[in-house]
Amino acid sequence: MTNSKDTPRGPLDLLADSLIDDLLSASDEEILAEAKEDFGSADKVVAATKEIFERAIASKAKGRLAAARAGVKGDRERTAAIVPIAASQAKQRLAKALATNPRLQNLTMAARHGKSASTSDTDAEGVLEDLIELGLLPQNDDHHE
Amino acid sequence: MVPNEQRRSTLSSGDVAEAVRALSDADWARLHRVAKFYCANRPLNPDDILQEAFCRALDTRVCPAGVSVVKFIAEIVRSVASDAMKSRARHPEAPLDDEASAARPDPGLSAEAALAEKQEMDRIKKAMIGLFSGDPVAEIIVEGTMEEMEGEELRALAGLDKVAFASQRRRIRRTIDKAFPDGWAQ
Repeated sequence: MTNSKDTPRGPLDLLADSLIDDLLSASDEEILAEAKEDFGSADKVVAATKEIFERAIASKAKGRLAAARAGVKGDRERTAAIVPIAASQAKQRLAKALATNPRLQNLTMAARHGKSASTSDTDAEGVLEDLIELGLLPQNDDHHE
Repeated sequence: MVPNEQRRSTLSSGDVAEAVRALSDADWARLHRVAKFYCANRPLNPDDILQEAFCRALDTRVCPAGVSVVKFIAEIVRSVASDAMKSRARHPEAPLDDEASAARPDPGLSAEAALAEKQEMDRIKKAMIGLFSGDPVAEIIVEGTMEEMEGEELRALAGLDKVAFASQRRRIRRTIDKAFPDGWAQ
């Protein structure tokens, strides 16, 4: 098997390359006869190699599952980090945040909720939680907003 | 976004999996033997190398459409075995799927390690050539191959035409297979 890229090949690698060229050009009958001669049964070699392939497929699936699990865990951790805010305090805190932070006033949706007289405590609670989740407000009201 | 033309010129991971599953028994046996050869002079497990090659074939490597899947995987086996040796020289516990480690610049072996490696390679070379001591044509082919000769140049040196050369090389491969069933690095 000749290859033009990467590092120079040592003498034994060159020999292996040449012997593999031969292996790839041998007929199917020769290859199966050799496997039988060397391992007692070609079927055994074929089955063992197929099993290695299926292990590779399973390992790839496990990798994808682990990545998906890590993603779900991250989402849960982010959600769990948000401490519920008492609905009765939310409206007051949102109004204070909008009054002192011009950046938040540009968030028209939030501003409309905060300034409207009809905004319910529950609406204010939802907007406040959204702003905290987006990192635009701190979790606790102790911080200056 | 992969352009349509490029997409058509390569196989998807699913196409590769399908093509591998459709391999003939002889091709499965070939891949098994390829892994054994590339691990022959290295302290590597052929099954592990082949499994990592399959993983890369399905994941990080791109198989051009029209290329033999057996050749595609054989080339990955060569690359995995080579990467494994590079990364193990630096980090003995490195896993086989650590492609990044193998790709980092090689700091080189210590003088002692380089000397030991050269002595081991010389020992195996002598053992290989010794297998054909009563067969000058085979000896020329083995030595010439290890000296980077190939094709017409090597055939001319051995005084063989294409067919006779192919037949000699097959005999050499089988002699080596039988002399070193568990690899060359014994």
